[in-house]
Amino acid sequence: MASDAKGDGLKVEGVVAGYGGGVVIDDLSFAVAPGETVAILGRNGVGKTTLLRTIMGLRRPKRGTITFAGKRIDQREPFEIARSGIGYVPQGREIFAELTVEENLLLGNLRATGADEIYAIFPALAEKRRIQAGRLSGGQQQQLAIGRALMARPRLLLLDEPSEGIQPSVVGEIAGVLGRIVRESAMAIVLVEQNIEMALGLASRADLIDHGRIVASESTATLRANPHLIEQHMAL
Amino acid sequence: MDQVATAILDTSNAILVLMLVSLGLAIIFGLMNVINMAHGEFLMLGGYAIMQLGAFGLPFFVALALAPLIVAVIGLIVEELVISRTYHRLIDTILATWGLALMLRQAVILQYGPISYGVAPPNVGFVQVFGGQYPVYRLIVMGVSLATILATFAFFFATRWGLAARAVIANRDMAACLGINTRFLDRITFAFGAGLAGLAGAAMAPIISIDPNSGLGWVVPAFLSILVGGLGTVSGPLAGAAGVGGLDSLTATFASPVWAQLVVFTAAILVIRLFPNGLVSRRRREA
Repeated sequence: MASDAKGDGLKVEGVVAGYGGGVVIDDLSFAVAPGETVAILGRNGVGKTTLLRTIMGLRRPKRGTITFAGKRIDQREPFEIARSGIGYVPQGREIFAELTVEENLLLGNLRATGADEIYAIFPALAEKRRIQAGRLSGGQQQQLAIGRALMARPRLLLLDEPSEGIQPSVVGEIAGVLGRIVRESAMAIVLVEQNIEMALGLASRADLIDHGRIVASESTATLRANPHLIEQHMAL
Repeated sequence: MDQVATAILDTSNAILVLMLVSLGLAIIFGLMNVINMAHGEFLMLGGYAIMQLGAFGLPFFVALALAPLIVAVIGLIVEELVISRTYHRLIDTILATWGLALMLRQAVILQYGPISYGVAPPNVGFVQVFGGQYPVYRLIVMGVSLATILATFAFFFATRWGLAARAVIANRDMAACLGINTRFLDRITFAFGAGLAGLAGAAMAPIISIDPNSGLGWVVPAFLSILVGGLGTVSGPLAGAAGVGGLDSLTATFASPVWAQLVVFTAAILVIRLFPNGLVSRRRREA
């Protein structure tokens, strides 16, 4: 990556967002450089999912700015934000249950001629390409949701609780795949995760969120050495 | 025998045209979450369009091809001016499109007066069907309707844009998050739905009379077809239209139009009671 990391990555500055009159994200700022994997940790209901939805344009921020690759995206439509190079894997996966596995993948990139790249990454999906996505197991559905986002070759991937309701072996496989893609392609990841082990395994940095803002930012090496730091912020 | 054959052909005609109207209504609702109360007026405009084009001296079949396009363009303008401002507010779409329906009817009255017009059918003659005479034009209407329905299905199930449209129907937000241009799809969906109604109105113009209220008689059965057939699929409204249109047309022929209304509404209530999600049901996300 020859370009300037600051201009290329994601920058969230002073963002306030919420539902109706309520504020969930309150003056939150953080940045992700290209190729960086950042875990967002925090208790339930502190605004992690709302943060991702706001970046994706599903929520308009009430205040603040969001820039990606040097361009303001906070007033753009979700489809424009997606096309600017951001992939989104929402909580609960939100695959298209009635469409086939292959159709789900093609929706990630309507110009693609096929989905062989994704089948190479997740071989379990290749065998089921003609099957309705709703009939896959939870782990395979998660692989499908991630594969669908990867179809567009995003420069930033937003992952909301990818380990939720999935057996540990599949969580390990997904983490391995994502780690490899980050190393090979300089894709950045923002990972919202309750599974501390997966979060610390994949991310280089963890931002702890509470009451709608980032309260601490630590390298995952530090957190692994001092687990009490996490408990300090996650407990209560 | 020939009376039965004629009744079956007339019923098929009614069903196929109702399918066009219901399909447009259902696609607009499925993709855009807009309940289009002005759908009947687009049908009515199709009738006036073919009448006006004929008055300009265009051959009938050229006018028949152009009329739906004119209505589609009107749909496009309406989408930009009115509909696009009501997204995510389902109740407001009913109010806005109902107001739009009033405006379109009054606009037509200002231009053409409250009287009814007839359009001369093209001179294509009759065919022998089971010993009886049947107008060829009605067969043409059936053929055009069937071809349009099949083309719509081909678009939805055999093209990438159709795949994108089905994704938007299933989960609009997620589809948008994958980079699908929902704004563009909304525009062409509304124009296409309006065009389908316009085609139905233009094709039926020589068979029915054209007046400012001629859309009303179609839009109620069309809504009923969608309720009976089920939302969220492309085939549901077609099944509903087959049931509603068939029952209505056959009962009207062999009993009376009043009985037809009674039978259709009773059957619709029963179906909705027994299959609350419609004949072709599908789980739908809460809007």
